[in-house]
Amino acid sequence: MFDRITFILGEWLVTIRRNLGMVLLGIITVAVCIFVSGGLTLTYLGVLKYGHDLTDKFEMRVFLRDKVSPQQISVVANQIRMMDGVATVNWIPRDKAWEKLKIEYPENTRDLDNVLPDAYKVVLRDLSKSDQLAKEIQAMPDVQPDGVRYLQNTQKKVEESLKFLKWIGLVAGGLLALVSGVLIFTVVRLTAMSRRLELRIMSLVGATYTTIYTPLLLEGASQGLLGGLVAGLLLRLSYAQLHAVVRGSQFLSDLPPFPNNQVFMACAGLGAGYGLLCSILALFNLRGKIR
Amino acid sequence: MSNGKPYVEFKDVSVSYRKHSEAVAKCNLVIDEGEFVFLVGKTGAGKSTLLKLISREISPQSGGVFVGGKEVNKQLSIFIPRLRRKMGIVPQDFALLPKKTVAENIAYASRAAGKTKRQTRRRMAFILFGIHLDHKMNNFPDELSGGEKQRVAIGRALINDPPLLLADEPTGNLDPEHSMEVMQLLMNLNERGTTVIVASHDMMVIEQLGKRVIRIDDGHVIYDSKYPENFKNLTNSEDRLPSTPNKFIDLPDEKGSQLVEDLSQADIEQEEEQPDV
Repeated sequence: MFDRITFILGEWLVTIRRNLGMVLLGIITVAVCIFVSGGLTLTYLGVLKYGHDLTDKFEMRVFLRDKVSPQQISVVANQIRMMDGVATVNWIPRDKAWEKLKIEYPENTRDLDNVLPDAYKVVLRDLSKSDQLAKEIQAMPDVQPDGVRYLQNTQKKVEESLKFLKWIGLVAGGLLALVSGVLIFTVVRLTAMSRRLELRIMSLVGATYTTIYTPLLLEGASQGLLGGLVAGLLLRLSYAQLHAVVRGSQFLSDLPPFPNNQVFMACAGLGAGYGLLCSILALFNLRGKIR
Repeated sequence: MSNGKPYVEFKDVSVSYRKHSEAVAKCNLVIDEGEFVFLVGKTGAGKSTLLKLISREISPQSGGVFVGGKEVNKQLSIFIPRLRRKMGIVPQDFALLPKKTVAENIAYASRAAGKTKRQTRRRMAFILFGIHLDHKMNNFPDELSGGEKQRVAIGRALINDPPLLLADEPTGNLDPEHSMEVMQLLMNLNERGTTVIVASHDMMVIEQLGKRVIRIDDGHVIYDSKYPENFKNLTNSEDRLPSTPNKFIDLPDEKGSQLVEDLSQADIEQEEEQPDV
């Protein structure tokens, strides 16, 4: 067994050496592809987290019409609670709200009767559903016309950013993945062609398919793996740079630590898997061409 | 050396490469174990196709090809390597690695076929001696003559100690002297019990050896020296070949007969056969 492994690994080294320039090019392209895709993914996750943080802080105010009975207030609150995307609903009694307002703005509220209606503080679970929720709540008969207030613009900006990042990630990452895939495919094909005499001899003497094709599959997988590790390293360095910039700023909050293990494992796994897939495609139907 | 037991059989085998070109048509052939057979015919007659059918490089459109009682064209492609380890294949173009020495060429094939370094070392000494190239084991292919290159290719085909040897035009690129050298080697292997099937159009050599000759033309078997009565309607005397062996010519190298003993000795000392993977 050990003897077989050493033979296959020896063949793998020969295949790497045979097209070293192209192999390096493949590694660089895979690295750039994963770096761009990985960078965009990290940014996307950052914005998504910001969106979630915003959602936690985000509350919708719902103002009720005058003279709604306490029972009705409870019924409406339960109806809103049942809606998809709602986290919590809290009733703000008009008297309490007025007292708070009088403390905050004593000059403006002096000698005035309570002008505030009963209201709810609605905290959302899903920011993307805020528009729909606002519409549904607005349609309730006990809610004032224009009685729903929320930070529509901020939410929309976050949504748009996420969408933009998704598209950029898909297009740029997809294109780079395609280029690196074609490159690995070509390198493996070229290697197979440059080694066709060896492959033919192996085939003639009854070498198993494992012996014949494993070195070529390993070539593609190793290109992907090395590309992934380089991309992980580049991401680590970029993040460190960004971290230094953020730390020096008075206005930005500090970034979380770089997820070393997850990023390196994801990049290496993704690269190796992709390289292996491209190699399999390159070797598909190759048997008929090497006789 | 034939023991009368069928080893390679073609039953109604037809192969066409394109829609209207039939490379082999309804071929029926039986080659016995230990037999030495020449497949002769013009270029494109179908000789190489018959060899490729045996080694499962191609599959027939209809009919069956049997080797050692097993229908090879019905075997799953995953079992082709195992099938090939039971036969030695000698290509016309030698297929030698130019940057490896004679010994390295044979060792590479042996290692690829699944033999360990130790098994390879032990067997190689006997193979090199058997093909009379032990003194040139460190030479590169471009330092060898055509005959020597072909002997290396034959030596490489022997790494699995196969009971069947297929040689496609082994003397196609050689002068008469080297052709006989190569044929002598094949004859010696046959004497040892190996079934040898050679595709060739080297009539001079074939006539001198006086072995069984099967003539192929346009995908059809048109003559078989073992069963001449089946081909009585063959009127063209040029298409016939001698059915009785001619006197075997003397070869310059007398080491040949020693090969049988050498390789037999190699068998005894060989390690247990590698399990099929």
